[in-house]
Amino acid sequence: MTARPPYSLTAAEQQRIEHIDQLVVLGAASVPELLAAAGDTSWTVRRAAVAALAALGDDAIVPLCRWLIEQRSSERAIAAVVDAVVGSVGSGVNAAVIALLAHPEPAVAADAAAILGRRHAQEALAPLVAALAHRDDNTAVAAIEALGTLGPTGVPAGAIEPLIAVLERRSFFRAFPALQVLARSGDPRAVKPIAALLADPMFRGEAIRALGRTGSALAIAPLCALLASGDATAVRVVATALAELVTRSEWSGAGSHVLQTLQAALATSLDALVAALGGADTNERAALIRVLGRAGNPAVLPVLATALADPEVRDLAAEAVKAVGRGHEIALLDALQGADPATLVAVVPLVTSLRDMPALRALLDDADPELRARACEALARLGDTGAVPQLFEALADVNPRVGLAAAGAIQSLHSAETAPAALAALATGTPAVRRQVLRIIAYLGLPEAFAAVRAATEDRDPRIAELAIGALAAIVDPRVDPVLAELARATAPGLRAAAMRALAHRGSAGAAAQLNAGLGDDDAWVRYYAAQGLGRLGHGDATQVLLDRLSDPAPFVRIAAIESLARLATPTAWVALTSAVRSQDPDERRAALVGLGQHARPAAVPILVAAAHDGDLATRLIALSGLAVQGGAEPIRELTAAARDPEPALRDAAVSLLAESDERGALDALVEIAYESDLDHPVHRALSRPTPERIVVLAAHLVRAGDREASVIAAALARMADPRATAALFDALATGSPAVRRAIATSLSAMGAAGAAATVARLAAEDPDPDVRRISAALVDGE
Amino acid sequence: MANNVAGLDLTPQLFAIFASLVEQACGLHYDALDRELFGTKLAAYAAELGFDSLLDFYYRLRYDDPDGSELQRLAEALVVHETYFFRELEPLKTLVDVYLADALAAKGRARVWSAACATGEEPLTLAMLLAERGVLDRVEIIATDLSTAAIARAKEGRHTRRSLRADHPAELAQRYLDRVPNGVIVSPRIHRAVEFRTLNLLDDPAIATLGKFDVILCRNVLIYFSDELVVRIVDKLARALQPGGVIAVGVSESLLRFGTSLRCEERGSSFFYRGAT
Repeated sequence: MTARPPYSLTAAEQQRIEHIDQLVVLGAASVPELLAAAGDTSWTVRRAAVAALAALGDDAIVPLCRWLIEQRSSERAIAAVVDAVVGSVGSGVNAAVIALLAHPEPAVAADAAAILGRRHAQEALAPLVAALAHRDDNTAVAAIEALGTLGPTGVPAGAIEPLIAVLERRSFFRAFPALQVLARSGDPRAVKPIAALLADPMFRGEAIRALGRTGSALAIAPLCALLASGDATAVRVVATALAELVTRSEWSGAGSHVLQTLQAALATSLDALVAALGGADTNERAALIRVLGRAGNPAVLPVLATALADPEVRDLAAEAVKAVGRGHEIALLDALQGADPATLVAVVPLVTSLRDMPALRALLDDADPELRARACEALARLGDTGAVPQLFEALADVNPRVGLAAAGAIQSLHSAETAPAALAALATGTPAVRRQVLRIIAYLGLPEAFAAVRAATEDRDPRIAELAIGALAAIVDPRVDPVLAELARATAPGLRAAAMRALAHRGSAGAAAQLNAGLGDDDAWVRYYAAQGLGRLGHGDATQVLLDRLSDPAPFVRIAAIESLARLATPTAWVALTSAVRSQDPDERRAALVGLGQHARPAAVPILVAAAHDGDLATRLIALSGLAVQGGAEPIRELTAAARDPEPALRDAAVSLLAESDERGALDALVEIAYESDLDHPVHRALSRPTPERIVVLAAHLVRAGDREASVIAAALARMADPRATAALFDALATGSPAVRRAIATSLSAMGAAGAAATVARLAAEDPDPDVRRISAALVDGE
Repeated sequence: MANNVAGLDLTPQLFAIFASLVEQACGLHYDALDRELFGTKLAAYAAELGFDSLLDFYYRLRYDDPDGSELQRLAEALVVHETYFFRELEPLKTLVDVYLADALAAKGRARVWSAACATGEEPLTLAMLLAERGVLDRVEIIATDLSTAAIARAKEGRHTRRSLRADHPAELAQRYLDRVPNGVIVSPRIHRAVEFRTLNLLDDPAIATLGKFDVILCRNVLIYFSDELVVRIVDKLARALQPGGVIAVGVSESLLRFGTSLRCEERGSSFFYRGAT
């Protein structure tokens, strides 16, 4: 294999980069040479020069700006110099670049605008707004795009009206970027001017998409009006925009209000949407299905059910069916008679109607094992106790997944027929059936099964015998204990191991002594379950015998001893855990970490912090759980860092752990992460869970929030859909800044909250801030 | 005693260690999105072996499986991919009408390897297309998969109902497939045209014994491997090509970002990767 990507450096590149590293030490004197390196033919060398120039901060900014004016030797070098200014750590950078914005050379001014946008230089608002009127289109466009990234939603409130003015002038080069920036702004003032572009064929398509991006209920009417056009292509474009609008509204907390508005607006457009499915590509079908699902009309269910046959949109169709089908009695399975198995597999988990039960029971005999398994699960979910006899038959299924699903369903349903059916199956069933039945008995603890289960402990099939021992432990009967004691001395090691498990679960008097004896068994698995069992019993006097097992020749016995010592939580056990956490074996280390993390103890924190940076994912996850138990500033800091980790499993775990914490620091951390995160980051969902403490903390953040934060916090409170959270929004109006009032007015109106209309009308008429009045007026106008 | 099923729940930590173990054994890479499906299969397998705790099962695999056979069997149980007749049919037609036609014109005979064929529906579909063009007897088709169970089922020539989806081409199905009460049977002539074997794509010596091919199919499989392993596997496949031979991957897959020596070609709306000539 040849021609691998050039990920590795040549010797010459390496030398040039090393030279750059040496230059940085010289400070300002190195700038000319670093500027020359910014034009290097090697990307990696240019990156090094950019980093060095940025690190020099104020020492480099004047020469960098002068270079942008005077030299501009190549596009490659210009891009590098711009990057260096963007990344510069200097305190005077923004002021220097704002001065550059006024340069008569348009290319220089355009670069300055781009830099200010990328630096989120909010003090550049006024000069960037002024640049919207620049004679040069490129400079004006750079200013538009820069304004799009200055604020938390991208656009500061003070830029909205000037951008609307650009839009309304309909200059080809400037209107399109202005449209895109306004669409992302979240500002309700933008909706009407964008909707006005629907009448202009040149802008219509982009305006449709832009209205979808607003996520605003105000955009629904103008979009839905286009559904009557009779043009299937246009309907598909509108559906795509509506689907995006719904997604964005869910983030902003306006989901319910948007849904209600959408359902009313779509009442007469369903046929057009259904007709547009024919000839639609995958993305368009997905959008149409999403919108049809949100329409809330059961008349579309047959269409959505048919869409389940399309593997490309199956999952979305399933969601849409759920969205419509709730509370509607429709026999989904009847609608799909003759459907292929893959479709039915997708449908079965959606079934909520009791009318589907006969069809589900019929699926227990289907040729497809996945369908049979899902039918078992669905019958349990629907509570169909009448299916128990058939489910017992399904225990004999050749596919183990089906047998397990049937067993689980029987456990859930537990009718009067269960016990007699279980005993009958235990007496006459195949080995596979008997194994499943023993699991059922173990779960339900059927006292009438003692004799049969006792007999099964002598079965020739070791799996049956072992499962029978487990089932015995669940039976409330004084005869069980002597039987288990006898089995703990059985000839077969598998039976002795099963007896150890059973003794631990049962926890009777005498169990500890037998488990202690099991620690000396020849068989490692007997010792494993004995060690595990002693931990489950929780007797501190088992500490020494477990310590002895830390030098067991079998690694899994050592691990069981570690796990059990953690449960005992004695001082001696603690010392052993702190030693085990340094083991060469990763599983021993992990077991020790789990133990160290189970109880709040200051000495555990540094160990868990170190583990949170381990190279192994499972170790890091365990460490995070342990840190959450510890609480306090340092653990919160580590969880916060993990919530920003690129690995999704770590990020999601950290966000969940922070969300579960009662500590103020954890909530503050979630808020900070929310400020910097995209709409689909799990932190937004975590913040939206309403608790009294969370509402109080968010309200406190809101009152002092700037532009940057207010929309994020207001949206979090709005998403809670909780009266206390809504009240907090109203209350914050009295004490918040104009930025806060702008965000709250938008959120309250978007939620359709009771009293919102009157409040927003009052703001429109009386608020001292002109932007608040204008936003509120736009909301009132839209209502 | 607690519900045994609860003991078989796959927590994120357990998923991380099992996924790592399986990846070491056979290269299959599972990420967070796969956790639910992985957990369902794993739970059923572990329960069948008599475990009521996934952690206990993990320790068995890690410390008490001296020849790795238990882990290999688990990997096989996890690895069966969903496949069906006539899946992504257009690229297969292009392979037959363009690449194999060229090879047959030049040499009179051609060889095809369907790598990771699961229960065989893909190479059998290819055989049907070749039969339609009257060249089936001039093309040797080798089909391999890691899973001995899947290959055993492929050799039986009997397929489940799920192997025939709602939108299949009726004429081809009518000519070469027979519906039976619980599934579908392939015509003996088509079935005989494919040689099924068990093979691990990480096993270099085994791959070397297959020889060189004009066309290699490796569709909707590479998505299950880490990027690092994909590079290695594609390298192996490239070396198994005849000069100018092509590799076909799934329609939603691309090899471009792996920086291989293969040259990407577009035919119709399908992409193929041609080896050095």
